[in-house]
Amino acid sequence: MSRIGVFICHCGENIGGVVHCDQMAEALAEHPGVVVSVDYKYMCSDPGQNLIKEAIEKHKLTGVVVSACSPRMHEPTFRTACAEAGLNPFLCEMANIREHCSWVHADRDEATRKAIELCRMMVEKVKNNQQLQPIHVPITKRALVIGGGIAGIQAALDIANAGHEVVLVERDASIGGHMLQLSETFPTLDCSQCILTPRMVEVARHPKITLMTWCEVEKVDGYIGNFEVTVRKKARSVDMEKCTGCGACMLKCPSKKIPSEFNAGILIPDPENPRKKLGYRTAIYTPCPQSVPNKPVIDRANCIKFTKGKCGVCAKICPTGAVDYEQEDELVVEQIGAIVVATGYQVWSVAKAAQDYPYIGYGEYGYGTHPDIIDGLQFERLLSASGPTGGKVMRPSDGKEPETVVFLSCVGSRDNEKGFTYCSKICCMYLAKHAMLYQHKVHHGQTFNFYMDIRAGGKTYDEFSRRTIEDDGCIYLRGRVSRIYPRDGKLVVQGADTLSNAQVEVEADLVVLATAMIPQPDAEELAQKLRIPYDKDRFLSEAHPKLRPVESQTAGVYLAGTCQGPRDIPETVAQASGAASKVSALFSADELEREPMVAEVHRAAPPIFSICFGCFFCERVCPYGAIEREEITARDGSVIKTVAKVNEGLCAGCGLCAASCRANAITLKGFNDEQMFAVVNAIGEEEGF
Amino acid sequence: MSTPEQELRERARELLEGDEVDVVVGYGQGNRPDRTTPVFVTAAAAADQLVLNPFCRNDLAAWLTRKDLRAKFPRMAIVAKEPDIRAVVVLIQETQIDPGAVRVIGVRIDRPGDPDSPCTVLPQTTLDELQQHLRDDFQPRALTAEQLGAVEKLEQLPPAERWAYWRKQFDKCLRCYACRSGCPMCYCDQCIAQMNQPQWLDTSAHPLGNMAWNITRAFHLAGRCINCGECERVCPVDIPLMALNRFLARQVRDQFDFQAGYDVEEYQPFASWKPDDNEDFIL
Repeated sequence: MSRIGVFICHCGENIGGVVHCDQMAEALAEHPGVVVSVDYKYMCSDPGQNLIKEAIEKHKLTGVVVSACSPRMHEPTFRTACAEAGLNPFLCEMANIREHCSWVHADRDEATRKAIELCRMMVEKVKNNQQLQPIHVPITKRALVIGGGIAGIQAALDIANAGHEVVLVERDASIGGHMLQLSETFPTLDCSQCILTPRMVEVARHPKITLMTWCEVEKVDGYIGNFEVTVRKKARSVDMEKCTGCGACMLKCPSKKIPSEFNAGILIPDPENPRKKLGYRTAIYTPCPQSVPNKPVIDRANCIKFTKGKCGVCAKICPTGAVDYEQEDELVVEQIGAIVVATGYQVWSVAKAAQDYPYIGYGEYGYGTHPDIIDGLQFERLLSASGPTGGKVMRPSDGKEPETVVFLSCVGSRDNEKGFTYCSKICCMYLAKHAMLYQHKVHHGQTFNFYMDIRAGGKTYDEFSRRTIEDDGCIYLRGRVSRIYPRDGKLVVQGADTLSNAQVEVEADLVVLATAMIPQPDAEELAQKLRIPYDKDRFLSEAHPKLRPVESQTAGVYLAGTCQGPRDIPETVAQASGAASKVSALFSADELEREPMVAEVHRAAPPIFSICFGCFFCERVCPYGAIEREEITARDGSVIKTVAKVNEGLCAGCGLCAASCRANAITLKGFNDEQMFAVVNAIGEEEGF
Repeated sequence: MSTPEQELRERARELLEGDEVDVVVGYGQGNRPDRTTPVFVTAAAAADQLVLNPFCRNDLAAWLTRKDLRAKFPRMAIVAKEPDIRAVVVLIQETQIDPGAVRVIGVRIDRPGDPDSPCTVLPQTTLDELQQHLRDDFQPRALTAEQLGAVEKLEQLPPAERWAYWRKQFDKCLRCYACRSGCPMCYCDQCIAQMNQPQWLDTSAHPLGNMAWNITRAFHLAGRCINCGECERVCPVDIPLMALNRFLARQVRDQFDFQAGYDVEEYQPFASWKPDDNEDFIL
C-alpha cells in the first residue's frame, strides 16, 4: 500500500501569488494513497526540507511528491533530503507548478485546478516508482589530448602535473601549432616562440606524457571513463629511435622547392640571389628548428625517392641509418578515460585558387592573384625572427621593403554575404600589433587600417590599440575596402572612410588581409568520430554556453581553444586549464557515479527470450552510440537471437530508443511504461474522462 | 519458346539443383482456378508445383521472417512480385534477414486479379539488379490511378471529416489481426497489442481500442510500408487500410523525399538524419 507525502511550495509569491496552495493541500490530502499533504512558504529552505524529512519518518512514507519549481532547479535538493531521511531518492518526484502553472496563468481558480491535476499525476507516477541505485562505472585514468597547439600543450601539462597519464596526439611533425608561427604576442609583445618552446620541451620530457606526433585519431569507441581510441601513426619514414636530429638529411635533400606550411606559404625573393626565393622547405623536414620532437619526417608527396623512385640521398647521408623508406602506417589502440579536443583553427582562404601560389584568396581583394596581398599569418612570418626573412619586412613580389602597408579587418568575418556571421575576435588586436611591429622595424613607413569596429575588450587591450594609433601613427579608417588593384608597381586600395564621409584611395606596397578564423577542414569528421555536436560554422559546441563552456555534450569529452570558437592565447590557455581541471576532477575518483535513469531492454521468458526482435532502429536513433548488439545463445552456443543492449555508461537517458521501439522492448528507468501509463490516466480523472 | 511459368519453374529448379537454397517459397494452384496458395518447394523435381498467373496475390515476403520455417530451411528463395521485392529490401535494412541467405525470383504481374493480365519473370537475379529495376521501371507505376485518386480524395477532406471517416471505418474492425499476420513488416515476436503491463491498447473490439490499434499500426508502418496491399486484401470487413498507409507514405515522401524499399543503402527517415532534412514540422 502506497503512503505518499505531498509537499506544496509557495515559492514566496511565485506560486502562492497565483495558486491557492492551501486548497491544493486539502484536495491532495483526499487523493487515494496520500497520507500527508502540507503547504509551506519555501520548501527548498532548511525548515522546508525538514518538513519532508520528518514526515518520511513519522508517516513511514513510500513516496514523496514536491509540488514546486522545475525539477531542473531543485530535484537534486529534494532527492538528497529524502535520501538523508532514509528514503530511496528516486522515490521522490517533483510536480512543476511554477513554470508549468503559476508563471503562465492568471486566473487563480483555474490555475489551482491545474496545479492539483499536475500534482495528482505525479502522485500516481510515484506510486509506480522503483528504488533505483546509481550506476558505478570504472574510470581509466588516462587522458587523450587531440591537438598539440597551445591549448593541447596546456591541457596535457595540467593533467600530467595533476599526476595522470596523458597521450598527446598531434598530426603535424611537431607540436606548437599556430602559436609557434607567431612573431610577438599582444598586448605585451613578448616573443611567441620564446614563451612557447619551454612548454613544448616540458611536454616532451614529462614522464606522464606520451607524445605522438605525425599521428591522427582514427576511431573512437566506448564512453566516459572507458574510451578505446585508435590512433593512426602515419609513416614518418624516419626511425624515431635511431634519429638524433642532426639535420644532415635536410641540408642535403635535393627537393628544395616546397613552400613551407610553417611559413604559411609565403615566398620572398632572396636579396643575395634574386632568382632564388626564401620560404621553401625540403622534402625531409622538420617544420622549424624549434620543433619538438626535433626529428624530421618525409613528405612523401614531394619526395623524389617516393615520386620518381630514385634519390635516397637522405638515407645515404644519415649517420645513424634512421631513414626508412619502407615504413608503413600503424594503428595503435589506446585505453582512455577522458578526451580533450584542442584541434585549433585555420585561416580562411577566401576565394578562387591561384596557380603557383599555395594559398587562395578573396576575389575583389586580389588575394592569391597578387603576391603583395597576403594574410595575417603570412605577415606574422614576415615579422618573425624565425621567418624566411629573419624578421626583415620585405614584400613577396620584389623583396623591397614596403613603405606603405594597408591592413584590412574583417575579411570574411562578420560578413553575412560572403563569409561568416561571427567575429574572429583576434584580428583587431593582431592588426594593431602588426602595425606597431612594422613601425618599429620601418621607422619611415606608414600604415593604414580599414576597420568596421575596434574590438579591444580585454585587460590592457584597448590601451594597446590606442598606442598603435597615438604613438605609432597608424591611420585608422572606419570603412570597408571595395577594391584592390595593381598600378605602377603599387597596389591601389579603394575604400570608404565613413567617419569623414569620403572616398579614400591609398597607394600601398603591401596589403594584409585579416581573414576569418575557421575550424580545421576536417573538424566535422572528427566531431562525428567523437559523437559531439558542432555549430553551423563547424565550431564544436559546448554543453552550455555559459555554465559548461569547456565540456562537450558527450560525457568525458572536453573542449579547449579555437576548435570551439575564435579566441586569443590567454583565453585558450584558460580554457585548456579549465578542461584539464574537469579531467582531473573526473580522475579524482576510481569510479564514476551516474544517474540510474538509463534505458533498458526487456528480457522475456523462452521462446521469446527478449521482446526485442533486433530491427536496431534504436541503434540508429541513439545520439550517444549507447546501443550495442547482444547475442542470446543456447546451451550449445548457437545464436538464438541478436538483440539490442544498452550500454549504461554511454546512455544519457534521453529516451529516444524507448520512443522509437515498435514493440516497446525498451523502457527508460524512472520513466517506465507503468509510470507513464499511470500519469496519463491521472489526467482529467476529476472530470471523469 | 517457354512460357513465363516454365521460366519460373526452371529458375526454381536451378536454385534447388545448384544447392543454392533449401526451399523455394512460391505460388501453387489453389482450390479454385482464380486462387493460388503458397507452396514450399524443397526438391527440384517438385518445381512444377509452381504457378505464375494474375491470381498470385500473397506477399510471400512475410514467410521470410517465420522462425519455424527459417529453422528448417536456413537458405530461402521467394517468388516476389515487385512490391514484395521492396519488402525484402526493408527486411534486410532492419536486420531481419541475412541478404546472403535469401534469393529472390522477381516476377511482374501487370494487373493483379485481371485474368488477362500479362505475367513475366524479371530477368534480374541479384538484389542490386532488382533494386535498380524497381527504381528505374517500377517506381513510376507503383500506384494505379485509382489508388492515387483514393489517397488524394482523402487528403483533400477537412481533418474533421477525415476523422469521422476513419472512425466509421475502424468501428467495423473485429481485431482479428489478419492485417498483422499478412503484413511482411509486422514481424515482432511480441506485438504491442498483446502487452498488458500496462495495457496501452484495449484488446476488445470497441471504438477506442480499435482506433488505438489501427492508428498505432499505421504509424508503425510510416516510412516502412511497401505498398503490397496485403492488409487491405485480407481484411474480412473491408477497411480501406491501404488508403491510410499510402496517405502516410506520401507524407513521408513529401517531408523527407523518401520511399521505403527502393535502396538498401538509404535508411528510413525516422531513424536517420540528413543535414538538409525538412524541419518545418518542428514547432
